[in-house]
Amino acid sequence: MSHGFFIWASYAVTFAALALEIVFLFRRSRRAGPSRQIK
Amino acid sequence: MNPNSTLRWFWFASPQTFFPLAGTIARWCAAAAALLALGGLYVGLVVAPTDAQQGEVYRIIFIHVPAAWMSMFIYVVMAGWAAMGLAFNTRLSFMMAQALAPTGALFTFIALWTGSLWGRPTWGTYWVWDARLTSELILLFLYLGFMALHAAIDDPRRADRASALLAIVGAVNVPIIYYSVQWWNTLHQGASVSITRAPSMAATMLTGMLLMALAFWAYSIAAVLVRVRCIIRERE
Amino acid sequence: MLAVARTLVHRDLLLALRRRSDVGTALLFFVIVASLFPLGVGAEPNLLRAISPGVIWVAALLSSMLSLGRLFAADHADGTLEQMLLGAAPLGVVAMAKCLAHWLVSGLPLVAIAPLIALQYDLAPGLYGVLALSLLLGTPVLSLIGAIGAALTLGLRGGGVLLALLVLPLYVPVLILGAGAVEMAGAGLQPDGQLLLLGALLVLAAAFSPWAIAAALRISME
Repeated sequence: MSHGFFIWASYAVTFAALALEIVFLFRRSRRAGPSRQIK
Repeated sequence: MNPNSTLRWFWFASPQTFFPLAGTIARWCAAAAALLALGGLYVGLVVAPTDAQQGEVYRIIFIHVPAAWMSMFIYVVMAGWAAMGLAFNTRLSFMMAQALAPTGALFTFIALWTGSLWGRPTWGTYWVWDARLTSELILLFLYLGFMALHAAIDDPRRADRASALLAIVGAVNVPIIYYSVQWWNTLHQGASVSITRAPSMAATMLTGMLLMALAFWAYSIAAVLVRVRCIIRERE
Repeated sequence: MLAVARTLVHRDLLLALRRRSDVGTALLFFVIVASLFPLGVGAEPNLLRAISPGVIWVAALLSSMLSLGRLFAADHADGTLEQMLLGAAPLGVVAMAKCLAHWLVSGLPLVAIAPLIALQYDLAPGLYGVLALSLLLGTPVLSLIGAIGAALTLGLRGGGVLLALLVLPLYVPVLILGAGAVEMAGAGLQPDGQLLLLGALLVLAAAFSPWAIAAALRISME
């Protein structure tokens, strides 16, 4: 386990987690219906 | 305060009027987040020098510390919206608190994950009962409790208000928890250097951390506003 | 106001006396949990002596948490709680009275039983006093903070476990200070700092939780 592994694992999981959040947000957005004008 | 200015304060308290504003702000913040992250990563991974004691591994700090800052900052903001909701009885305030929780929990997880991976090469174990990591763990429990309470109550109004009160009670307790954990840590680990403190802060290291912190901040605003738009659509 | 409080405490104590088994099981739980640890970590006396303050305190936390469900459930079920909400007495006073009764029945006995557990763990006899004092100061705080959680989770399905998830993080400072006091004394140092801080937590909790409990009850009952 070189030190490089830990750095890569940290950054990779961080950005993967953030990307997952974005993906979930967009799926939720699509499920909530298109962005029509709210009454 | 004349009636006109009072109306102006509450103009954006209506979900309908807030909705398009949230969209605009979210777009700008998303762009800002991307740029700031690129800058921060460049400074952190390319410009900042190798540390004398920890070598390259210290570079985890550019994610760990900003994530920890965001996790605590978001909790305070969440409690603030919760207090506002209970005080003024505005639906949108409760929606904002709900929207902030998942992002806050995510940053808490990131802080714990990166802290753990930083601890392995520097201290030999994946989990160190360091003051900051332990406090972050308890903060994660507070976030999860907030979300769990809201999910457990069917009536939306009761759910909003109950979780809001919980958030405020939690916020009042966070400093007490933090200081008691600090004290507990010094008692059990002696005066050893905390793994989460990078020894000498070169100016470039500080810049990198600041840039990443701003990037996370912009990202949080964007993510939370997108989520609150979803919540508005789901409820209205 | 004091008369109301006294009546309420009296009433709750009377009710608890009639349901002695409920009270007894929580205390029995305290003893059982404390007995589990040696079975898990081995009976080596030095190890047990070292972990005993922490184990006793964790057992106290868990036992206190289990008994919280009883705090408002019975009154909520038969409508008495609604009467209290509509009544003339300030809800904060009602909350305080119920917490006091709860502590007298679920917390104070722990202070009495703890030395027996300490005996099992071969804790130095000189530390019994600090242990009892730390529990005496800490268990009321557990009742007060726990009552907020109990009020928030009133009537919810899966309430007991959810209550635990909500309340345990808030219990952490009490645990750290309480167990820490005994460990300090065990190391030959003065536990005054921890005990004074525990006292401060008690004062803070007594001052602010009745307000929070009352707010939580209103939120849960409207």
